[in-house]
Amino acid sequence: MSPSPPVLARILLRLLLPPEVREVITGDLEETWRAHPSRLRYWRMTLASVAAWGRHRLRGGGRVASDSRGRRLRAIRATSVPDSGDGLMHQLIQDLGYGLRLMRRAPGFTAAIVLTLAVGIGANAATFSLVDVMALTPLTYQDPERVAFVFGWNLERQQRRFNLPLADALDIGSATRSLAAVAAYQYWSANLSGIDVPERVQLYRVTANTFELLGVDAAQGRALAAADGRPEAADVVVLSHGLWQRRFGGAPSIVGQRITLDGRAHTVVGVMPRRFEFPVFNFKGEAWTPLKFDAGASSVRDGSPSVVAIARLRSGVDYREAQAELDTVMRRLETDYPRSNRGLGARLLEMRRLGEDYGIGSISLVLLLAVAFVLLLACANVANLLLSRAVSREREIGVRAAMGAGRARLVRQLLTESALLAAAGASAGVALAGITLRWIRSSLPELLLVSQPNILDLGVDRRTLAYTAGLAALSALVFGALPAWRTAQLDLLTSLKSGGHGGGAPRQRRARSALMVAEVAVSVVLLVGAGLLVRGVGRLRHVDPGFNPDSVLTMTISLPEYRYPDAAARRAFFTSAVLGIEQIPGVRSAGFVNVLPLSTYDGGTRYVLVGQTVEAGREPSAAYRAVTPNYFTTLQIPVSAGRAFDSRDEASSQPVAIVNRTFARRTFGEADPIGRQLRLGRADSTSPPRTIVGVVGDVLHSELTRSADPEIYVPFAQAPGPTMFLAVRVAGDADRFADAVRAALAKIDAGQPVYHVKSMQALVDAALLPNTTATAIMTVFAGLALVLASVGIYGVTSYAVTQRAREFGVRLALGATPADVLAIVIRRGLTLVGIGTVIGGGLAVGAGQGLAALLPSVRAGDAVPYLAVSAVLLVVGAAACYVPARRAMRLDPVEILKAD
Amino acid sequence: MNRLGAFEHLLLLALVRLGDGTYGVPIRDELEARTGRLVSPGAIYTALDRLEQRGLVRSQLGEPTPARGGKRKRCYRLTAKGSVALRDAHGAIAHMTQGIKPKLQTP
Repeated sequence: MSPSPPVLARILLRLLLPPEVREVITGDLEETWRAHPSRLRYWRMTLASVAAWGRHRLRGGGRVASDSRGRRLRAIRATSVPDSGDGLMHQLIQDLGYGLRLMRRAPGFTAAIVLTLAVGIGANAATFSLVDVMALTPLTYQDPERVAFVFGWNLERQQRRFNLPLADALDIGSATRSLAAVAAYQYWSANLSGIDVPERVQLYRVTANTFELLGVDAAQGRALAAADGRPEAADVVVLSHGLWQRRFGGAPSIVGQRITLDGRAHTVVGVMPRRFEFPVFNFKGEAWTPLKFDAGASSVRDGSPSVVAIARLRSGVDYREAQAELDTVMRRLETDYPRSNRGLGARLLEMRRLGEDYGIGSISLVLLLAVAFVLLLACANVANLLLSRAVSREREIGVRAAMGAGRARLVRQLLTESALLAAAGASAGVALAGITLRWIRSSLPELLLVSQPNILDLGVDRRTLAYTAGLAALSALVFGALPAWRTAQLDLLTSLKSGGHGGGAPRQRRARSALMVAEVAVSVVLLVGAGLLVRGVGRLRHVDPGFNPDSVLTMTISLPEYRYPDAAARRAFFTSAVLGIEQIPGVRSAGFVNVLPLSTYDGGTRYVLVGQTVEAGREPSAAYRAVTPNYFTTLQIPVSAGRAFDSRDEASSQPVAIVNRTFARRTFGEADPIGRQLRLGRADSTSPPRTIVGVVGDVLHSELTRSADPEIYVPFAQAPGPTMFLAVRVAGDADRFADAVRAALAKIDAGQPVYHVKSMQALVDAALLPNTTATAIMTVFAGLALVLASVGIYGVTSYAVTQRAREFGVRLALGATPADVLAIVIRRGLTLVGIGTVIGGGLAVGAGQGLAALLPSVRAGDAVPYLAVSAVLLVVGAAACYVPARRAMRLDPVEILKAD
Repeated sequence: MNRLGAFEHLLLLALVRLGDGTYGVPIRDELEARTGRLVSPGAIYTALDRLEQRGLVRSQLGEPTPARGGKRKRCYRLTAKGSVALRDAHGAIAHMTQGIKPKLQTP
């Protein structure tokens, strides 16, 4: 007994072929099956048969229709035949064929619809791709949904602090069961030398298990292995694809070669794949070296380096369970090591959700919603066009119905036509999105290029295509449903008798008026939203950051330890650097700081006021800045009490500090802070007490929307670090001074690279980037909405004029002036626009409150956008009505009445 | 004038070879055996349907057989018009190939 043929194939045949054809074909297949029972062959034959039959029907063939009276009649007959168990595919193919012919017959009409949909769907596809990349979806790790950050968490203030001590990360790794692995990394930047120009590269020291945790192997050579992490292991490095291409010309022989990082030779053991991006929220690394430590000594917590920890969840464990276990482990560490761990918790955050945390999530949400509204407007316009055509097709539909086509069959056919239009619109939209995204990719700001993972993957990928397809199907339903429903409601007899003129005119007009009101309302919401955002960004631009960014050039210098091993050497370099730079003609002043405002870097310290006792682990913290004397002058940060640092504050002189106003207010209230003393560090710190000698103005360090943090400034001479930001105030354009400053630094040390060279204004712009980008995109959407809405107003009014031509003719014949007719049309149009504006305004109030909740810079109560948008819509509405109204005015009553 | 597509030409030749009353399975076997082309029943029937509309073949439903799982078959025969079309096509090919036979010879 041979097995039976594939059931699924038989179901397919049954579903897709009309009964008689099916019988003959299945019979043949059955007969062949007995001779050779090959499933593969059966399937191939089935699919090929269905396809052949589909093509045949599309060309107008088929056994049912063997008349010769032209295609149109055949098509009408075909879609009019009552359902008689005919295959679904068969009907679908008929409908598709007929729809295609209809599209070809009215190219202008089709083009208008396809273009409208292309704009709507294209804008959605492009936005989706943008949001998708921003949300880190394309991270190329294995099972990326199980890869998480383990952030430190300040239990007392319920605040994230990013880093954890390495010792904690290691303990978490060994103590938790729900985490399969924990790895850690540390930012590092090193001088890459030994080839042409020395360069500063951004890299990370990573624990040896990092790549294994991420589940990504090297494209060439190998990634790091466990043995690389031992203290005695040789120095090795893994390169990113980008660095390998940029600095080593993509030479395959790089593996095994040695490169010099901060003066130490490192053997290149591998190159990562092109699409691999490291999990960061700052600079993407370009190379990775092992973070070496002695696993046995990990319990030594003092001086344990600060790291970013990442983890992979064991499969089958959800985030809540893992977090619960992590909480337990952290509590135990707190009890075991109160000195270092009091108040320290840890939080798991799925890596791909990092963006949400930065407000990118809420901005993305706003943009996706806004662009969905644009598509809704496009759909409304298309529905409008289809409604106009439905009127001229009433007679045709009547004939079909008279010949026995059921309502369901007619609706199905109309929806198929809509689906065809949506498919055409989606294809054009994807092309449009592709072009737009390519343009965006070529004009990305540098900040995004260096910090946003996978940003260059921006484009129409498989996910975007899937999203677009879903959207197109939904649109077809949205814009096809109203005309299809209206058709199904038609009184067939009337439409046949009246010859297709105005069968359901009053109801039609109501439907159109409703559409127009809805369009106006939706565009009001979008325009007001955009207006609120624009005003919000404007407000941010006028936020006083606490310093003056104009005409300030900035750059970063990191002195490598092998050349500048001690404090004296570093002090000497930076002191002579300031002297050299200040001698350049046009330079007003220059200063160094360990972290510049808005540079995305920050630093903090714990402190204890002298004379106060604080329990270990409960010391307050503040931002920490080490500055050279002219720093405050250079950035024009006002000194509000006491003095700034000057040449008196040397390494050997009395330790001093300056605090900002927020610090002074928080710590001392109304009392005078000058002369008070504090110690940096923990309660048991042995660092010398520092006397507060001045109070300076607050600086917005990390975000323009947040209030200032408390800050402690110390003189650079008393705390000389290796990495410093330079700020130079010049006369005129800051960027023109970059070469002169580089030259002045090269005179001190020609082998010392500088990096992050940019104007202070560029840093401010970068800080505003998410807001300005969102505003720019929103403005484009609002512009599209306005255009679509005015086209809609024009279409509806124009149609109304055509419908009422006879009435206007009679009025004109009876003595109405053309101006009267004009007034009638415009009054009606503006009434609808007015209603739409009022409804839209109401909705916009709600939307504005939502926006304000998501974006702190937006003020919902701002009346200006509402008033401006209402005015704009009335003007645009009047203009859109005026064109058809003028036509009504010029009607010739004689012609119209004769035509009747 | 009844012009024939290449596949239609092959189908009509198959009908001549197999005689009146033949149907899908033998036609397909014949095509496969002589041309090496594997053709689906759907392709065969749609082509035959087109030919029938043009009056070059005629068909009727046959009896169901157990070997076909109780399904009927559709049996075809060449009409007089079909014979003429086939002869015309053959004549055209013969004229076009005159004198170039050596180059076309299969080894």
